[in-house]
Amino acid sequence: MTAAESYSELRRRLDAGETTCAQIVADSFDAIQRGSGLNAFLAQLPAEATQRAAEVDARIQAGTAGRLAGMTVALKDNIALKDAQLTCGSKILTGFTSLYSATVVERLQAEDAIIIGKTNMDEFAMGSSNETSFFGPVHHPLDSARVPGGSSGGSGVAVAAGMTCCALGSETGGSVRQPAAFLGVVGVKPTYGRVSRYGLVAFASSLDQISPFARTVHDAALITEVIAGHDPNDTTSSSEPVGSYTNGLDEADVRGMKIGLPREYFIDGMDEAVVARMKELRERLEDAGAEIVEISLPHTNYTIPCYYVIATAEASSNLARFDGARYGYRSPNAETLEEMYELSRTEGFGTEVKRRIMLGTFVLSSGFYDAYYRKAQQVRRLLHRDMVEAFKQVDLILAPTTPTPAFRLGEKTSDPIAMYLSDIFTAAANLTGIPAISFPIGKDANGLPIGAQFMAPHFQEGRMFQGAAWVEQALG
Amino acid sequence: MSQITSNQVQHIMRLAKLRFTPEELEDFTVQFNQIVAYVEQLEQADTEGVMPMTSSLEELNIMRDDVPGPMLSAAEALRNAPKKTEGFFTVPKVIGEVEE
Repeated sequence: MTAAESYSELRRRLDAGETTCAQIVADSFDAIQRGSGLNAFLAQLPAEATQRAAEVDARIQAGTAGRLAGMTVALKDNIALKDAQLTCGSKILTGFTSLYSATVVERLQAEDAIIIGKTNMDEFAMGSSNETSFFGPVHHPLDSARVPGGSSGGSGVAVAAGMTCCALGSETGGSVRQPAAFLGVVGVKPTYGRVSRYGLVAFASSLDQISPFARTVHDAALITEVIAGHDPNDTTSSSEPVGSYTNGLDEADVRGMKIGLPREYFIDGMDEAVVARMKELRERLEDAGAEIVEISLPHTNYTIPCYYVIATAEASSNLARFDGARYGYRSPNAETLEEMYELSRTEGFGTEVKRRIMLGTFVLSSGFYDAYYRKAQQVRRLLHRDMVEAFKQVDLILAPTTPTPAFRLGEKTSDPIAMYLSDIFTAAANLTGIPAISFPIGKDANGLPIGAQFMAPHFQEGRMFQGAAWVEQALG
Repeated sequence: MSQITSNQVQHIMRLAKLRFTPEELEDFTVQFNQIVAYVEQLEQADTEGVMPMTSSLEELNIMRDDVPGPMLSAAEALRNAPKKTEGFFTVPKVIGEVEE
């Protein structure tokens, strides 16, 4: 029960002595146990979490507890926690244990958050349904025949099913916002460079960003505030000061706010419930005094092709490190060095990862580099310009997070392009680096959640939290 | 639209240090062609004179001071090694294994 509360409420009860971190942690593992069929966790850390809970309880008593005291957090299994496993959902990293903790983990622990485990994910974060994990798919808590979204499906389900207060995932093309929308929780993709990537296993380094899940906008703002900020260990970590994202969220207002609706994000073939909920939201915003402006992001059609060229190119380079020599799986069948490389990779990687390594190798190969990779980087700049132009007219951009609610397991596994298209509304924020937040806006006729997202200009996270907090309060 | 042959896919496979069975290679060539045809939409974008964008971040290479920080010991660095001997990673024999 307690696990399903918001952190704000939990903290009030902790400070009032009505509950303890020990109790919260015990409840958390009970919920994980009850939901074990969802396959959300790859590793649980009950001993560490229980010990930590006792320490934090003592600090609460002493009045010295940090800002996240008693907040349970689950980590996607591509984020390093010292001495814990780090599989990335892949056979090739089974047995690997981290030598250090990610910067975000250290920041969470410094504020007394309690790490409870590592969550399931698409292999190397490559997927939109959590079906490519070597450790089996994650199931949607409301309908086990449906996917939770991906690639951070385990983290999303852990939050949605009340197993943890918050969770960290990672985004490369929408891997937190898309599952957040499918699961009816809040998912935040911070500005590229806002949150340190140190200790996040690289997929596509110019796109990857550690991204939190929470059940309320306030909790999401709080955890983002804690993990954000410059880190000397990441050369792409921005020195831009971090604002207070939680400030004034209770009185969030959209009056006078200019909100852009990009016409390219309202496409044929969209689920009718998505269209209906978006229309209702638009009316609510107008009634509250927001100015809705129809805008155009003219290069939107190129988003997914551009994304798949850049992401796979960077992935093929990043995943070259998995060679069976220094860590991870080494094929027992290799007799020569060359065989060690080829067999370890062939036996260690799953189909989707191989497909993307192949595509990435192809677009970077001699004779094709200019036509694909360089071209995609040029298109990326056009997408960026679209956003910069749009934000000259509006404060926030509003769009559906996904064209449909959660789809069925197996529905898209045989058609890579159909699967890639489930990131159609999310990948632009990753390519252009802007922050975005997905939040629930209602359900379809089957009770499946539907999500919308606000996108904001670079480093304007505060503005999008304000907008999302207003929606949360307005829709109750 | 370029058609990618199974020979080309094999070449990419070797560059990527992967192996496919003949059946996998055949399936893969079909799928690969579909994906490549799909990303070829990019050709239609007018990118005349547009500078390629490698990062969305305006600040680039934000360096830390060149001061030694915490380091891993050799034992820690070898902790995850599939095979090690006396403080070294061990790999199959390299010399005399020249491949084309």
